[in-house]
Order: sequence, then structure tokens, then C-alpha cells
Amino acid sequence: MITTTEYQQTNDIDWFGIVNGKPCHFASNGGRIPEHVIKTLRKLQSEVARLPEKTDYEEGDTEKINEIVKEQYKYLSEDGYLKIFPPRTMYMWSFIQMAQKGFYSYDRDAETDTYFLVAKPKDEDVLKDFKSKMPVVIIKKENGNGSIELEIPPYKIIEK
Amino acid sequence: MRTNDRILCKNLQNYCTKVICDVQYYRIVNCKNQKDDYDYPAVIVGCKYRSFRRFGRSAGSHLHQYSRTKNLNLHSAVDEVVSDVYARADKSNGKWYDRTCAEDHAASLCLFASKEQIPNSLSKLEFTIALRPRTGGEVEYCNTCKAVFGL
Repeated sequence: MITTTEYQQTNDIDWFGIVNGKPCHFASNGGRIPEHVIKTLRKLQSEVARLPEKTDYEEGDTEKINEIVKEQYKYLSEDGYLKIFPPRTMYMWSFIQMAQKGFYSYDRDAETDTYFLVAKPKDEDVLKDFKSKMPVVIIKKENGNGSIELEIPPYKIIEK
Repeated sequence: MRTNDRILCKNLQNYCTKVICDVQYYRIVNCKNQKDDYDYPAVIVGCKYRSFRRFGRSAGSHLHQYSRTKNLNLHSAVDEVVSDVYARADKSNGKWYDRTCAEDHAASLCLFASKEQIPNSLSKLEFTIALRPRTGGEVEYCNTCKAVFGL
């Protein structure tokens, strides 16, 4: 069940919300997601999967992306592994896809439990009709480096 | 123990691609029976024991795997060994993960497939690196898995 902490900790969930009036996509990377977004999540995931890619994208936090690409893909030069795509493409493809659909696409840094921007759309208006279906998410703290902490209140009911 | 077994490593990358394709497919066709497959697992890993190679994914609980093996009379043995090792790991680092790691899943599948005696030491199981399927990036093993499987 998606509502359990256990499920959320072991899955990398795509979830969506409006932050400061902008349509955002978040990759949870094992983090907790706000309770109020869960009700419409499956429907949104399905609808977003069928959205066309209408705009170009821009990279978000390039420094952070460089750091990840440098750290997490060393294994590709080891014996046994195939280097089919460049590490940067491997890391970014899903975020680029979301940005091309019109979302500001964030990934979660598991160490700091903050979200950082990976890709953003060049044209924000492609989702102006879709935005009304998305729940509003509140930012707890904006850090100087551009990463954000989200307000995720404790759940009222944790189903097992 | 860590392995660079060519077949296992190559197939781990293929498994990663399969997970991505499955998620995208289920979402697009809006498959109502597969709602839990709308999400990528946080981690996947490959495991090798003797000639058996299997893949595991992190999940809320891997207990459902035991139902597959009810005729093998092995599930309780594995349960005992894993619980015991977990109990020790628990004491050593104070954490209890309740078998949600991809390593547990892969190890269980390998041990079930082998239908042999459970090894005295789980460090005889060999593991690939752990990957985040969405990005194909390497994920560090958790402290419990390091303790349990000698990684």
C-alpha cells in the first residue's frame, strides 16, 4: 500500500504538486510523500504518462548533476558492465521527459532529504489546463543552493 | 561478497531496463491490477549462489515470496537463518529493516532456487552492485546488508 512508510521507503515514486504556482514533478527516491497527494496520485501518474512532450528543457542544478554523474556511474568502467548510454543521459532521461511535458522536475537527495531541480521546461504554459488537477505542496525551506525542503506533515493514519 | 560475474552484471542492466519499461507500460495502459507497479523500486540488485542467478528489488515486504515456496520446506529454514543473522545485525547497528532490501529478495530467490542446504554463512552469496533503476546509478549497500551478507 502506497500509504505505508515501508512502501514509500522502498520505492522511487513519481509524484506531482504545485509549488509557488509552478507544476512540479518529484522523484521520491525512497522519501516520504505528503499524505494529501496520495488520493489522486495513481490517476495523475497515468495521465502524465500519456501527456505529449511539447516543449524543450533546461538543466536545473548543473553542479549537483555533475556530482551525481561523477560519483554514481564509476561502475560502468568495471568488468561485466556495459556502457550503453552516457551516464548523464542515464541519470537525466526521466527528468528531461517530465520537463518536456511542462513540469519542473526534482530529484530527492537521500542524504539531506531535500529536493533539487534537475530539469525545467522552457515553456511553462503547456500545462496551464492540467495544473488544476494537481494538489498544492508547501515549501518548508528554500536553501541557498536552490534545493528545497517540503512540508510533509505526519500522517493521520498509517495503514499496514 | 561482491561479484563482477559477466552474465549477472549484464542481466542486471537488462532487468533495470525491464523495470522502467514495465512502469511506463502499466501507467500508459492504466492497468488497475498493477497499481503497485506504477512505481520504480528504489533499489535492485543481482545475486549469485552456485549456478543460480536471481534479481531482487526493494519492496514493502518480501513475505509474499514465501508463498511460492511452500512445497520446498525451505522457507522456514531461510526464515530462521535470515532472522538470526538479522537479529545479530540488529544488535550490531541498532537498526531493523524487516527484510525490505533488494539484497534480501535476491538472496531469498537464490536460496529457494538452489533447493539445497542453507549455507552456514550468507557471505557465500555473491552480489552485484545495487542500482537505482530510474537512473541506473549505483546505490550504496545499507549497513544491515553489509553485516548480513558480508558486503
